[in-house]
Amino acid sequence: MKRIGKYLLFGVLFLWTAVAFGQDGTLTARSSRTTVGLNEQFRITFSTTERGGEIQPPAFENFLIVGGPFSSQQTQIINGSVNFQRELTYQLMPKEQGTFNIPPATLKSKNGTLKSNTLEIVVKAGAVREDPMAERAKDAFNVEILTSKKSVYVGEPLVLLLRAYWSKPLRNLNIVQTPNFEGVLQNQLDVQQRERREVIDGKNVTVLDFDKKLLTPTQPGTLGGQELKMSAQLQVRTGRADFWGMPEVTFIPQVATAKIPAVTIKPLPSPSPAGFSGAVGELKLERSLSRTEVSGNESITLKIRISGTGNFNTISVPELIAPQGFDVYDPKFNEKIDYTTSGVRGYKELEYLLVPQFKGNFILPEMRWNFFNTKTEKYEEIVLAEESLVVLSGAEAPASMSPTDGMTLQKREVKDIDSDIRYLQSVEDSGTNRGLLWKLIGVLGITTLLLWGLQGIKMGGKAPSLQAAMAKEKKQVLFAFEKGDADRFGLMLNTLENRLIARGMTKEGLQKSALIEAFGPDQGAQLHQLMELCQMAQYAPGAIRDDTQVLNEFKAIWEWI
Amino acid sequence: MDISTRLDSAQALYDSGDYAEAIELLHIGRFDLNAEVAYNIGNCYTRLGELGEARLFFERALLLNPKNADARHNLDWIQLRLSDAIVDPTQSLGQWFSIQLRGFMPNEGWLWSALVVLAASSLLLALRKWSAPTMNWRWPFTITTLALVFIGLSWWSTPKSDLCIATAPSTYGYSEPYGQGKRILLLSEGSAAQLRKSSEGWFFLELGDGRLAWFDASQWGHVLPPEVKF
Repeated sequence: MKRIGKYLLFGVLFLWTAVAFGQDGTLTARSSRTTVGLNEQFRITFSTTERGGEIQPPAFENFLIVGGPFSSQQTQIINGSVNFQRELTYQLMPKEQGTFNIPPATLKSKNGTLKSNTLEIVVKAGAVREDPMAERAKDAFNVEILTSKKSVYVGEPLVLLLRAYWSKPLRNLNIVQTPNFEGVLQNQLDVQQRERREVIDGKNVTVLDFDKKLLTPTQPGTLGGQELKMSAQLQVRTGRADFWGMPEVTFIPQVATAKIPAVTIKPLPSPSPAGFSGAVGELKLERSLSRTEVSGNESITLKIRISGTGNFNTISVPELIAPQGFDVYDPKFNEKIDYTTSGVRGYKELEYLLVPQFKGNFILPEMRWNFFNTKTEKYEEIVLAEESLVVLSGAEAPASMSPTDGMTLQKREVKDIDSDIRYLQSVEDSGTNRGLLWKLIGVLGITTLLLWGLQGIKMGGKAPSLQAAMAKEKKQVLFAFEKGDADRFGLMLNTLENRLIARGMTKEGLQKSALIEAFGPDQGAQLHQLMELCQMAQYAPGAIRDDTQVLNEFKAIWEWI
Repeated sequence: MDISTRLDSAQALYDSGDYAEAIELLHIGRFDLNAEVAYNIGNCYTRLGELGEARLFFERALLLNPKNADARHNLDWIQLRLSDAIVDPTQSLGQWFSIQLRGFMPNEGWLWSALVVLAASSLLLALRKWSAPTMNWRWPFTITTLALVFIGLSWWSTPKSDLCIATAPSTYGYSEPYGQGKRILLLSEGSAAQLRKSSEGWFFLELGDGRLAWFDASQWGHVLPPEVKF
């Protein structure tokens, strides 16, 4: 019974699931309004009965997303019928006038891919509703972009301050669209986001500076880009009173827009001078020394500083041309820069420590630095003159350099020269002409090369044929006999033995029997006799009276061997 | 005035303290690359207190004859007084080997050796061809190889140097040639650097610490002037 009950329970659950989840999935899109005015907000909602999968919204190309996505889901059971639905909602605001289609959203689930319907939205300029409360909220919320200058040169920095102010209480302050600038380098600056009260156009307003940017134009023209848009919900009175007689309020959504300020970007005069550092502004270059006279165990602190108003974000302090005779340590970098709406002001500084190595007078070299002065609208060169550094004690190095006329020939004092320097040497003319020697080497080199060519040794060529090798060996024997060499019989014996070895016989096996076996009884015996004769002649040269007979016998044997 | 008279006159001028005139007399054509002449010119400049020029000629004397102990002594003496000069460029392995070869035997010695061995090689080859065909070919081959080795050593022992010495009391280094660009360095007299390239009176030099800059060539002297050929 228990088992039957269990099966029944499973069966009921299966049927309920089939009813509950077996329905066909749908995905629909709907809009809170089909006709909207510019700067009015509306909602787009995508609904589905599918439990699985994620709703992929379309690209809202002509609209700004000012809120969302907000998701919700609900399950209803009415008369045993289960209905499930989930939704995804976006709050949008149109960017421009016209008629626009919002493409379908998609949902991928186990039942396949679902697509929603397309929505048509008409955006009109004058479609703003005649709402008295909206009228009250109008002009109560504003944004603006403040700029430090209206006209700058390429490379001259510009500070932008993004500000919002409102005269009625508000909530949900949001940046809908951040301005993006074209043709500039952007740096984000720190800003303290603190609300304060001010009077603007005779109205008491709350002001919030919420963003600060440093722009460095890289090309001439006019500053351009996308405008700033912010949304907020402003608190306005409905005109009604509540139960206790207190005025009733409501929140009206508002969007405020600020255009990019008109800033003219002027090009730098061309051509720029050689060595132009890229610095633009009202700048000064200074060099300061803690002292100019030191003893050997003291040090000098040297500072090079650029100060004033200018593009401190991109310029660097010119490096020190190190004076000779000092150890110069890696500099310490100091800076203090204020980014205000009146510009970028401050200084950048390199601080060097110079430690003298030797006693003597040394020159701190002249420094030149070019920049573009925005006040005079001209390139200017700052020259820091040479200075003399005197080291009063330390290791001996009597080197002196004129601080005022460093490029003229300045003779050094050479003390103790007579006792230290060695005297002149006698000049010997070896008479060798290296050029002639190289020519002789060249001539001899060519001669050697030619002689090598005449040797007949073929480098990398084919091995000589058997006939050619035999002819050469025979020729050498004949040549030795012709000259009457003492070793002619030895050469003949070696030649014969080498030939027999080349035929596959071993030197130890050159016996009469082996020769008869190889060449037959007559020729084998003849060959053996000649070899015996040669061997004997090596030890008793006088035993052979007639070389010609032996030579003829050799020639005959050589033909068939 | 013949060469020996000029050299004698230079010696006399030096002894009488007329160092500048002695220098003029010592610059004698092919003798410009004679180690002893370079040494003597270096001495004259030392007496004049122009230590940059003096270093240049002592360096040249040592390049031509690394065994010249007097030149080494005087160069060390000069360098003690040029202590504000920068770190010297390091010597390459090839330059070191070249100096070792010249220390063993002057360049002319290597050339003569190569010539003699090459002549011996030619002789052996001629003998083998026309007089002793039974001579093993390995003999002329070995001698020819030896001759080639001597020719190589002769070439290697030829003095070569791209070292330049600052002869002006101070010389500025620029980031660009022709005095354009920024002044990035100031070197004092006697500083040494290696010539990397040159352009119409400007040298692009590399210092011992790896820094590179353009310098006015008139303020520098080349230890081995490129216009003087061996």
